[in-house]
Amino acid sequence: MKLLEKLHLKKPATPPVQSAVPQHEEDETLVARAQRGDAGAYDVLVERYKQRLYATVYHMTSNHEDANDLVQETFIKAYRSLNSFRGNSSFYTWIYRIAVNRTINHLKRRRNRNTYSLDDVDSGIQTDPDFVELMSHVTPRREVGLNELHQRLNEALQKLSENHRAVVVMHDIQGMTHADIAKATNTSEGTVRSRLFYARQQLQGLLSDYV
Amino acid sequence: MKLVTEMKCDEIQFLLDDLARDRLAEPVAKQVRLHLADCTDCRVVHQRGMRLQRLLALKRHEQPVPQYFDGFLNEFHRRLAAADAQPSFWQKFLRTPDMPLVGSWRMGLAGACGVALTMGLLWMGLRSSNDALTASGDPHIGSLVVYAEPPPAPAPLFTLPVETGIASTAPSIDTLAGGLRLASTGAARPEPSQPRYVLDRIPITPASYEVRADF
Ligand SMILES: [Zn+2]
Repeated sequence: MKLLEKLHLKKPATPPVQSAVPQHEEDETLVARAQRGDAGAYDVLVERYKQRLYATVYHMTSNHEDANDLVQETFIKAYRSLNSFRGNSSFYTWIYRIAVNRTINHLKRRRNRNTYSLDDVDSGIQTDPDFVELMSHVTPRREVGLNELHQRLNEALQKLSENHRAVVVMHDIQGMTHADIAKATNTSEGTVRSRLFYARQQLQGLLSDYV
Repeated sequence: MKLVTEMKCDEIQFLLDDLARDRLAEPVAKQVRLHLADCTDCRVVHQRGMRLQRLLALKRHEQPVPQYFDGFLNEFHRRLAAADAQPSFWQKFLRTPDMPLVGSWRMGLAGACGVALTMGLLWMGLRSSNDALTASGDPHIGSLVVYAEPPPAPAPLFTLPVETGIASTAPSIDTLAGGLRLASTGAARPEPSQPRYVLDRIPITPASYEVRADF
């Protein structure tokens, strides 16, 4: 299947994750300054990436408190390991990987102890075409509340294994490519595709009311 | 290059993600779409997959208010300072608390551990010198127990060759993808009917969060 990927896939026009960072060189400069002991430079990196790391970790844990702790721990761990960062990858790739690894380990420790945060759905969802279509499709059969929908989504995600959940979050929620997910999780693209396939099969069973 | 028209349904389904995200080269995308038009099974899989992805994507709206992150940096500094100020295990153990009695108890325990360690090392040294004397031929010197015959060594449950490797009495040599190798160990094995395996190379990957390429 790897051959298929090589033959059939066109190259992505823009790197999907890194593209959101406008000045890649600035990261390198900031990292170099932070490595020389400039704490202010590291602060800029924290401010730059806190929300993006938070989003991934939150969707993996479905819990704001855990997400906050894990992202804080990630930045502390990265700060302390900064001298070992040699710039073979971008700073964001490096710290993203730390965050994902920490979160997966956290989820493995926290198995069967799931608590969800369900009170933070932004108002934009009401006008999201996918949400509108879903509601029109589902509500004739039964009443579906917004919170119920999110609870069902979170419960279904929490039933996946940690590795399957990570792949679904990165691909289906955050829109990362298989290649980027493979780098972030230190696996092959084939493994990412396979995990996605099985995770979706499980999710389709768990969310059969909606799909 | 395998033509899309020659692909089986599972191979087509493998490409559906890329089709949905416009990541296929146009001629291939066209072929996949033609297959979907003809094949009910693949079309159902595609439609259900798309519905699931749209449903999951709604989770994007589940996020805290922007003000949630206002104090994040201050909290980072507070946690970093707290972590830096945290004493190590031995510092914690030997730290004298307010109660002097407890403090002296801890110091006493640490001292006792030190003495026990020293005694243990001395005993080990004495024992090894006794073994040396026994081996030298005089059983009365330095040993209280003298065996008429040396006690039989317990039969090993299994033996491991010195070299690390997966070795089997099976005659063939197979190379496995994970860096494990099945190799014949020759006719000297006691029970050729029961192959025995020994771990071969374990690829040791340095623990690093870095990857070679950027996202
Ligand atoms: Zn088909």
